Amino acid sequence: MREQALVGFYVSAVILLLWAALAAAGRRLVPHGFTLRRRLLLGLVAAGLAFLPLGDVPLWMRAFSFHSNPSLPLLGLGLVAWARVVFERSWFGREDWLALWGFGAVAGTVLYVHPLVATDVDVYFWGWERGVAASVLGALAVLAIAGGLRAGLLLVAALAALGLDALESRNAWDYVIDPFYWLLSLGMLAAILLQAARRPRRSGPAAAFKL
Amino acid sequence: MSPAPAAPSPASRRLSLRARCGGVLLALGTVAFVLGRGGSRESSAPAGIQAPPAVLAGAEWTDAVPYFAHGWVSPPAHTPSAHGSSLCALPSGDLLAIWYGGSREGGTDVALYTSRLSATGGGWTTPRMEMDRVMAQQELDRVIKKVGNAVIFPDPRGLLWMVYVSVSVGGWSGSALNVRISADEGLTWSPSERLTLNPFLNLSTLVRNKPIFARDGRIGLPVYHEMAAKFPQILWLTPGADGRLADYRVRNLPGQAGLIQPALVPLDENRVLMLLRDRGADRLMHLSVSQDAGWTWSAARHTDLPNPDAAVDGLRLRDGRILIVYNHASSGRENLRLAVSSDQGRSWRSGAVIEETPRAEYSYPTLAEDQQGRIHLTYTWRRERIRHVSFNVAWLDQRPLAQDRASLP
Repeated sequence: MREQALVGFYVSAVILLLWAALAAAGRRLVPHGFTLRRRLLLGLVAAGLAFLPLGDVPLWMRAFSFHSNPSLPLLGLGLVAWARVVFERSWFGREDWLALWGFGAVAGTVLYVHPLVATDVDVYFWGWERGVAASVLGALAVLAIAGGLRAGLLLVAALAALGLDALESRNAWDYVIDPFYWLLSLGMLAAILLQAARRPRRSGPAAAFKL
Repeated sequence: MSPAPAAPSPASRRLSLRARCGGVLLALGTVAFVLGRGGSRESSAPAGIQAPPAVLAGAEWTDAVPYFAHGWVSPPAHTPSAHGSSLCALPSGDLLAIWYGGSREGGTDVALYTSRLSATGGGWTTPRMEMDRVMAQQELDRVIKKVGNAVIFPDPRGLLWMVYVSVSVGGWSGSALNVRISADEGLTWSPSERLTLNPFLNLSTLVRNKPIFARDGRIGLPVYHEMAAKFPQILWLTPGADGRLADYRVRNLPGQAGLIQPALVPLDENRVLMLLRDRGADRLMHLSVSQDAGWTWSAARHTDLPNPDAAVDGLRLRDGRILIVYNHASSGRENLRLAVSSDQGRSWRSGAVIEETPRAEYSYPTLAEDQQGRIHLTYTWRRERIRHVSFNVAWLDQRPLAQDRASLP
């Protein structure tokens, strides 16, 4: 039963991301973009693509084979992108983006790089200590939300997913960080810092979001 | 330059005070929900180790007459290549072996096979295919390129466990582990369950040797990591009351870089010896000791026994001595030899030679003791077949021991 729910959850995420990608491509390719009706139809196309056999397995299964534990922040980013390109709604402000990229860069660096530097510290192991992990993530979520950041809700979603064992992994850290989110965060932070460096000093990093 | 589309809005969209209060309450409630569902997670050292199931079920040694026999687990020309056997004694008294065979190691046609040796006599049964790439793909809902090393062992409640390697991406360093459980000694199996043991795309956890059994029911399975850095780990499996895997977690062993394929030998109720394959420049077998039932480990030390970057296995005999099987060479796997320690691994006496042929390969040995106290050894014979050797302690003790006495520095 859990396996079926897991696969259903994963297939939904793949369809959503494909839908967002198709809608984004449509917006670039078609001068005035697609109508809402056509954007919704793209959802059906995305569902078809997810089950398109590549070799002897469907596309969603290929994605699952390579990345079976997408973190909730990564899925949240996908959802935000989907809402933006399909329904033209923006849910996050500049503080949310900075918080998301900052959290992804720091958490990923600690989790993935520390075994190569300090072998006596086993950070990943503490992800199985649900009491420790839930307390840490809960505290971060409370701090973020109390500060007014909508991005904090992604940590709450990660906690809820952990409680429901929604991913294949049983380790709490896999619910909040994954290699793709980490690399994306590092790239985005680098872009923001570069952009900030080119702007007048008074603007600061957050001004890099100005379009 | 703009970070769009991921940063679509320059505007501040901070939550209202009311939304913040609601969000904080939601966060606290979710934490309480997670903590409420996390009660079964176990996070401390086991209270002690119990003897393997076969030893618990068995009688004292009565086998005073030296006994030695050899034969084959896999039939001739069953598969062009056969490797990586694992062996266990079942609660019924039968022996069960598992190995992988196919056109070549890592080939897409490689499958896991089992064969059974009945306690009532007869030979090894015709191999039964237990898992191949296609079956694994169906059970795990993902692309599987190949299957590899597997271990098989009964837990003290009589459930039979199979833990096997599968690869979706890359070579062996892209391996992940999967678990199947049988309630009828391997006649039927539960579907495979993928274990997530590594934060980086769950890559590079492999298994080779048999586990230890904690008195609280946990199973300490020695595993190892190969990508970027090579080091041993202990995978703690917690069986559930329903006969399924209830929980698991893996602990890295610090300070043992370059050492893989740990083999565990319980010394007593709390102490465990770990033997390690050396992938470094020393080419010496290494040891580590745990004083707390396998939870924490000393830094590894090398022995004087050579290790040509090859797997070893060990077994605690009922009189307390430790028997190991290994390749006695710094390079190549041209021989297979036994060694015995009477002082819990501090010194070793190299003993009977099981195989020795120039330029041949004898590797991946595995030891098991049956309920009568006889010792069984299976290993890869020239990458072609799986060989079975059995003997008793009377035979072991009458063998002239080699003069090259090795000890810890």
